[in-house]
Amino acid sequence: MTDIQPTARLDLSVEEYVRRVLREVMRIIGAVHGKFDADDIAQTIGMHVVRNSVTIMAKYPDPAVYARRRTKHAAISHDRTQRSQRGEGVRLFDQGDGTKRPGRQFASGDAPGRDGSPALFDNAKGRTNGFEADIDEWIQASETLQRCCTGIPKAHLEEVMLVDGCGYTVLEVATMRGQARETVSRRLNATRRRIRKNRDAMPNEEEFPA
Amino acid sequence: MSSTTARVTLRYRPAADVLSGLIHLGDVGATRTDTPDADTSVVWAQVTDGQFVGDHLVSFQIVFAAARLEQGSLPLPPALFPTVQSLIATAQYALDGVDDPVASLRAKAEATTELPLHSLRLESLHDLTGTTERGDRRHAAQLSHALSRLADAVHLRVPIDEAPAALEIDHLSRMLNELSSSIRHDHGRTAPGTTAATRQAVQRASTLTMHERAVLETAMSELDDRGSWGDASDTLQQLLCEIERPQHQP
Repeated sequence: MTDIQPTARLDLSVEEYVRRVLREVMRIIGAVHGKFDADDIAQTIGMHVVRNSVTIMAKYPDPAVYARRRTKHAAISHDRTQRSQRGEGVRLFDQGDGTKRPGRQFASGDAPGRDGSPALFDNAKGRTNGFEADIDEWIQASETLQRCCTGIPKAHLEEVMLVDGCGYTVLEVATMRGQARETVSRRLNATRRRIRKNRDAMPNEEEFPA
Repeated sequence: MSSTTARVTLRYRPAADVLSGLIHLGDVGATRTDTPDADTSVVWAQVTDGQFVGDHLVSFQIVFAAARLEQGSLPLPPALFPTVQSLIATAQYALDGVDDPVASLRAKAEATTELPLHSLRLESLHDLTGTTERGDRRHAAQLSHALSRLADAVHLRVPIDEAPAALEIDHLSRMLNELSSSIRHDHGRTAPGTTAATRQAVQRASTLTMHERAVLETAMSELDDRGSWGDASDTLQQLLCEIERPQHQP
């Protein structure tokens, strides 16, 4: 039986592999995002390699190939986590002009208010007019949301909330439901279509009672 | 941010030898990311500085920063050099006595400084505004293949009984492989950071002959200039022949 003993050269080869993965990830993210996030994503991937070095090095002898495969998913997860923590929702939606807006329309946590108003916690502390306006807006938004969800089963709305609001992947929700990913994905798209349809069928905001 | 200066946060990760910088310019709106070479990425945004309105550096990332600094200079505003040098030196010194590889892989150092806003203008940073066009993919593939073969050939010369020399050759072989990979994946962009680090590895490889070292260093210089990639290909082929020849002789 072959018994592999750790040696200085073997340890160094693992270390060098991780270093190269770190560099490659930072090159890829830097070229796309150009933000400090590259460093955090590289660290997450690097630590994953340290924990699973034997398997990863055997499967991907070239660290650059591993880094390229792993970076996209790691970057998406990191971005979702960050936006979720900032209370912006996990998905970005295309606005049609090349820019994207966060999926969640209403601030939560200590996120800055809409239209450049101060952070929500500061407003709550100060009890200013801005805070009252925010509350009015929130009540109106809740009513709008309720109307959008009319006629949609609660279980289907839960799935949309889990994926678009909480950041779960479709696969994770499918596992929770004990169903195929494709089934849940189709149902999610159908629910989103119904929400949009309800929204489009609603009268303009001016027509709502004050 | 004052009207004439901007605060800069620098972050250095010694394990990967990567330097990143973030310039605090407030809400800058739309940004543009450029990659002047395979080892450098920069972000620009339009900023108003008094009467001047134009693109300013917002953030940057340089791979193999310490190696590049040791071999020459970094394509950054000169006013930033003292802070960068001190940051890199401090981070490397701090890791000198660390035996835990995970701790050294996680280590990062940060520093902040102030820079005049005019030094961050696009017009002042010629080294970061080089062409972002890529070269001939076929040429890049040929060079990458030659470097990969050279890495294998060099690796065969690992001395069995000398551990330090074996580590030096291992390192050189890895650097040649990384250079090959950078050129292959970036399809024709130069990789000045990786060539600088490879040059350092060449200088430390005591088992190579003086002639081999000189040829390798010439090849690295040629690789830094995309116009000389044809010469680099010839130089690498010549070196490969020289290195591989003795093994085929009885």
